Amino acid sequence: MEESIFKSPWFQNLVVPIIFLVIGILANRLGRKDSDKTPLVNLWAAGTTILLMSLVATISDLGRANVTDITNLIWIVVFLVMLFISIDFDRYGSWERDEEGLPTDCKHIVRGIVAPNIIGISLFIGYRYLA
Amino acid sequence: MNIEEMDIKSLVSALTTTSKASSLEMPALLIGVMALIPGFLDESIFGIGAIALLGGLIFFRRYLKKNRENIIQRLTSEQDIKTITNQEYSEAIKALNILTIPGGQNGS
Repeated sequence: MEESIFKSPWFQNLVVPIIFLVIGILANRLGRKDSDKTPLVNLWAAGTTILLMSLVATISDLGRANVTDITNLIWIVVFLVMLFISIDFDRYGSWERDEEGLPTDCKHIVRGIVAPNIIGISLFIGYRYLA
Repeated sequence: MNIEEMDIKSLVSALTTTSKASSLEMPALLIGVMALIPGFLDESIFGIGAIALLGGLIFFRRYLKKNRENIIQRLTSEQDIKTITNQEYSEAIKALNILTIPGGQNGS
């Protein structure tokens, strides 16, 4: 019998993290206040949300037979550590700064949006391939 | 670590260096955790080193936040008596702002 597309490795390893990214962006959009005048580009910053969803996926995989407990536990610790530092980085390191070092209301495109998103997706793909 | 007793040049240098290093926080962390994962990079010492460094950065940031006003006072008085140049003062204040003032306060 042909295996479901949703169970195929390429879907689980590559499409799922992209779905995490889309959910993260939608969650940012949903949480945005109507009166919020900050740039819309900030909505694309979903790195921390991807890490959070990856952590949940790792925990849900804990009971599966094909994943050894110790490897899974290491990955849970990895995602937890990444999550804590990502939250800290989100607050301090991800914003554009003016000439006095004060934060503007716009995320830095590379440091605040592209890099965290890529890191979150890569880490989840790494987990799927290595765990 | 007492702000009043600290060598002013070391303080300025610590602020500017840490501020520059903080922008590399996420990539450094990624290398750090990858090095810890079994079967990925076999040099776990790099992983432990990178995570220890980042942990140190977070603690240093908390220390700076707690002592922010004292540091600004010290920098201002040292600038007044010309122990540090105006440029060093500006760079140190900028680094202090980057390290201690979070973004995202005006909405999202």
